[in-house]
Amino acid sequence: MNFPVINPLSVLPEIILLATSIVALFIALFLPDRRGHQLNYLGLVGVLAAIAVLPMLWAKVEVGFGGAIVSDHFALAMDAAILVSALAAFLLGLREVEPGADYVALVLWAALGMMVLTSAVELLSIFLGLEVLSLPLYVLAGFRRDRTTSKEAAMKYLLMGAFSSGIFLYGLAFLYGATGKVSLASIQAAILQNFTSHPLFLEIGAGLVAVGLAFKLALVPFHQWVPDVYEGSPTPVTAFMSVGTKAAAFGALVRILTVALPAGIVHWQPLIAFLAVLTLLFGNLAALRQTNMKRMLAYSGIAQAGYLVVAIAANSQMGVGAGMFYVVAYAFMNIGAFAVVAALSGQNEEGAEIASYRGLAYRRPWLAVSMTVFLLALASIPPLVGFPGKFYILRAAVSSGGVLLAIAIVVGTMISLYYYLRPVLLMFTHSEETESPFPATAHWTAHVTVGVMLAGTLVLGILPGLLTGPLQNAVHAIYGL
Amino acid sequence: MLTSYFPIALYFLVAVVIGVGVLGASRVMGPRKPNAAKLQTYECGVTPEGEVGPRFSVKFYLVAMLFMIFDVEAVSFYPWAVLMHQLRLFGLLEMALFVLVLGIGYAYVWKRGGFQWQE
Amino acid sequence: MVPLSYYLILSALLFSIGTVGVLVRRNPLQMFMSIELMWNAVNLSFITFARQYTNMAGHVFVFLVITVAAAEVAIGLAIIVVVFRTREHADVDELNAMKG
Repeated sequence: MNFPVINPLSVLPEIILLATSIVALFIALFLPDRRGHQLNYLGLVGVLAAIAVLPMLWAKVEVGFGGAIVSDHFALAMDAAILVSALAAFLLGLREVEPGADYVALVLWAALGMMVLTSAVELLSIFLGLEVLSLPLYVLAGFRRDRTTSKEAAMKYLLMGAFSSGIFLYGLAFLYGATGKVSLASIQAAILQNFTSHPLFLEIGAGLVAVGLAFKLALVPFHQWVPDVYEGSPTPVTAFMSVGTKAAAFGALVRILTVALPAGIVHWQPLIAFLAVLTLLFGNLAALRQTNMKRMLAYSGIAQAGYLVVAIAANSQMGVGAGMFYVVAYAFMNIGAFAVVAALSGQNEEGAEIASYRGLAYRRPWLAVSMTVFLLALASIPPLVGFPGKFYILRAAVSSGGVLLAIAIVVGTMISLYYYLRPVLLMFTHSEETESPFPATAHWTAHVTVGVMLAGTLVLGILPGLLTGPLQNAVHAIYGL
Repeated sequence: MLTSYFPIALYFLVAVVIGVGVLGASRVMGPRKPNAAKLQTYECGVTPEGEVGPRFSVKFYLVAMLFMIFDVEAVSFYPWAVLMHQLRLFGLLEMALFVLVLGIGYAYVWKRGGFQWQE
Repeated sequence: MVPLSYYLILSALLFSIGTVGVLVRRNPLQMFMSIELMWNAVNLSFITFARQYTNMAGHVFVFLVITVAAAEVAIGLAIIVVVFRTREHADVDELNAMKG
């Protein structure tokens, strides 16, 4: 009997995260409760260690678990974005959530699931990754049990998440049923050689998979849970899941749709393009009338997911590369914005209203200027990282003939200028109130997070070429060139 | 063949007829004079307090949840048990790792008081 | 023998019943049961396809789905209990602390 080759190298960063979480839980057995928050530093070390091994793995493609997991450049690049967001969850979480071993373990497991999802090339491991990422996030959303909003967020996330997982799973069943294969490569081969039992099964499968992931990516009309969950969850968790989940779901969509299911045979492209246009228009319009900062960022996140999906709808190598760049860009600017929100608001999330940002530039200049940079980056103003990101996506859309998609991007961006610039103007407006609506000073780790994200937003905005080279390799990796 | 089961079937029929018959007869023929005291919930002769449908302690849910997790995870042992001899040391080590992870989870629940019935 | 397509139709019906249940019901426990119905309908599909192709992948998938569903139910029950511990009725329409 021959065993599947496990090859631990293919999941080395994942193993590090898992080991850290187990150690954290083990230490918690002997640690008094009041010192539980110190485990946060352990989580931080674990994530940093996982980031440190990424460059070492870059040299070679590792295949593990009998071909279910591939650690290629695409997976590693997405892993980097995911780990950065996990880092933010720990850095910001120190004061926000009174974290203990449970918080540390849950964040690590969610990051683990996201990383499995981006490197999964078999239906089984894809499903496993999706669930390992979802289950801890349900709990994390409701981590502040003392707050009604947090509990409600957990409930809504759970019901919508489990529902969408069911739809996604049914899609996987149809893909399996159409070809009798579970590995994406053999599904693709079966489709290309016309070894499918029923062409309709493929179409249904692709549609259900797309809808299931559309829930996770928060595409309109599957977005209703997002604003509530983003507002209700603790801010560090919101920052983590808004970026991490998008990176992971984008990875899965790319691997399943653009690579395994050739668009010429399985017609998923119109559906994705339709969702993208709907998301771009609706997400931006709905963000206009928000008065809560986190809620506005939630709708902006929906709109940003729309840009990402345009990259998939373009269905080209250029599109995938542009999407990957955008994931990294989104990680820096979005986590940065949430980090400022976290640094400003206290334990009970007071001061999350946009109105309370009035005159911030005169009281907390460093945070106000950083927030300005992040918001302008999200609005894709040059020379910040959002600009090259959106430019690459626009180029990919146009070069594959998606003129309507390109128009949707431009219109969406124009709408978004209003709600991104409004808080900026407010921050630089003198306010009569001398009393600050924000509580005491932030934890130093929040400032570190803001600083790191600011550096990323500026450097990659001015020198996007630093990233495009490695990403080109990553695109080649998944297309098997 | 099947005819040998006939007495059993007859027995069930008679049992059902007698049961339904007795209950039905008492319902049809018996006198019924309900009053407030008779309709009250019986609580050992004491005047009842509170609602009829009691709220179960949250502890029950907690135990049910923990039971379900550990119960269903046993499914993972099944494929290993079937192929134990072919898998040899490799399978044993894999399973040991699985049990270790499960065990730490168990210890954690224990420490956090998940199995504590009294507050 | 019953044709395999019958199982697929049954599975599709169960899945639809579950979907409608999630959309129509307002009690979170009932919604959650409907979701479980969807998941198990998918399991039936997997087994049917595994039978059709006579390979084990579908069976392995079902094993995995069962264990994951158990974890999902445990977390789900925990969250539902936490949310409704302080409330009289369980109704998702009452969860309206956030709007917009």
